[in-house]
Amino acid sequence: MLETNEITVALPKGRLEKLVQKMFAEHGIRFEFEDRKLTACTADKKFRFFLVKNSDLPTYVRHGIAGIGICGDDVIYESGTTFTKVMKLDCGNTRMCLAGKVGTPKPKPGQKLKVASKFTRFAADYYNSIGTPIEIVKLNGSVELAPVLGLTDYIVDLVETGSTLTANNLEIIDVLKEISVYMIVNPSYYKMRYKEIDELVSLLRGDRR
Amino acid sequence: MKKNNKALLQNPRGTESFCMEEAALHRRVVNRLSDILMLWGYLPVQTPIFDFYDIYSDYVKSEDVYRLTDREGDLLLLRNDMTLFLAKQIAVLLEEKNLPLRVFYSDTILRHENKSDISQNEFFQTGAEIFGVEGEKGDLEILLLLEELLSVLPIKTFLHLGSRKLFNLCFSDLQADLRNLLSTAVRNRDFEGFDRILQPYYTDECRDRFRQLFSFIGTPDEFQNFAEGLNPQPVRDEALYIAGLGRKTAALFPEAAVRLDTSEIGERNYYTGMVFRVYAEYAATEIAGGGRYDTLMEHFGKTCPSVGFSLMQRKIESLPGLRKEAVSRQATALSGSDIVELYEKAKAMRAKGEIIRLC
Repeated sequence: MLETNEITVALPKGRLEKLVQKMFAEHGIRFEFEDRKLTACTADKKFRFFLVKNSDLPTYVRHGIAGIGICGDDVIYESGTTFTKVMKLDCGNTRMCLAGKVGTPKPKPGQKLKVASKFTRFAADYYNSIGTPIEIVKLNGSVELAPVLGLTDYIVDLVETGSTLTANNLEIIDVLKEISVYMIVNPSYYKMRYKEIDELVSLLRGDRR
Repeated sequence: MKKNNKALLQNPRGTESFCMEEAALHRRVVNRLSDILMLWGYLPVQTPIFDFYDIYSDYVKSEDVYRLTDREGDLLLLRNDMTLFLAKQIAVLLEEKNLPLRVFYSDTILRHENKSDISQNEFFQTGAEIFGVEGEKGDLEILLLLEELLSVLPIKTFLHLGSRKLFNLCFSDLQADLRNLLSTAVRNRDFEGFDRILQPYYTDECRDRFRQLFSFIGTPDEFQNFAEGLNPQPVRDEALYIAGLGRKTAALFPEAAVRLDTSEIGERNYYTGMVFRVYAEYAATEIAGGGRYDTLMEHFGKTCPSVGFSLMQRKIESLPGLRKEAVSRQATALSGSDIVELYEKAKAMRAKGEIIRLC
């Protein structure tokens, strides 16, 4: 665990970064990442923020390097770790979907599926839970290419607006789970600093100004 | 280079080795804790490194443990939990006339761990158990002993005290599998999940009351005030009981951070009463845990109230306060050619506490 008294928060690079930074700023917690720097502090040195790759965020929180993190259900699930979820955020919600080329039929219950996905743990657990045999091809990015190039007929991926799917002549076949964004906390960190964390949550929820 | 680099360079998951300065620190900590435990009247025990699996199968998850088959075909379990192994050994030896019995151990456990599992560093535990002391006397002795052990270590700790009994009193009517799901939700402070599990069985108002009860964290005095308003009476009595344990512990160890935390209900299903965990500054997971387990001994054929704790000693040794102590004291080398003279000189210097090498 990082040896500091500041409250440490890991933020995910990418779509959530600016949304979360804005949310903190609206409640008086202001910080800026200087050019190419991946850490930032508030002026009062109460908070220290780290910018990390989305999929690495649970690792930083699990090891207590960051006490707090902001990330989606999808990333938490893939990490296979339990965190204390202290707050559901109103921003960044999305959906985990089964998608394929336009016109691809919805698989019948029990029909063996071959899917490409970054979310292998989720895909396996979801389809095992409904009794569907599944073969998963692990990809790390540009998953939409898999049906286009014939690697698999289906993909399991996050869909926000659907514009990438449309641009590649794909469509949603099934919505598997609504994905929310949470503020997560290392369980031990929460136990030690529960008052400060509860105050932060109250502040961000607008319980007090 | 050897062909099998993995076998050469890595240890199997769930094991570790440590040596030299790190091992010296480890021994010093073991000795420091053992000296205090002996002064409290606890005697050391050693349990087998493996035992027959069947006797423990109700209490272990097969995916978390190492099992092996002996030459007669019996399935064996490598020691994965000190309390379980100790309970069986004590049950075999126990005679009513010898109670109460106070024992302690400092030993390794072996568990299978995922690559990402940060419950690691539980390989070596020091702990203490009392057999044959019911209720407050036993519970308080264990809490005070634990706090005294922690007080000699240069770390800042937080004792979170809860009760498995409180949980059992509230949810004894639920089916076992639901109760297991619910206990996981409480321990993880997942109160969305908690509410979802209870929704088919309880009214909104009732679920809200349960949520308030099991999400409480605060000082013993704050919990005392909270507990006085609880109903029904058995729930209020247990809540007031653990509030009392917290207040008495905090009074005797004013420098310790004692919190009442009702989400602490114990991970192991053998707990029956008060349970607790200790968190430490700069530790990513808890460093100690324990509680009362009055019915576990029945599983091994004896009836005997029991209570105890384990300190995850390797986690403690990795904390900044202890790491400073790992810096070794350098040995002084004597010069000279007469070995008899050197020996005599070294002996005299060692008697003054110096570390001396003969060459």
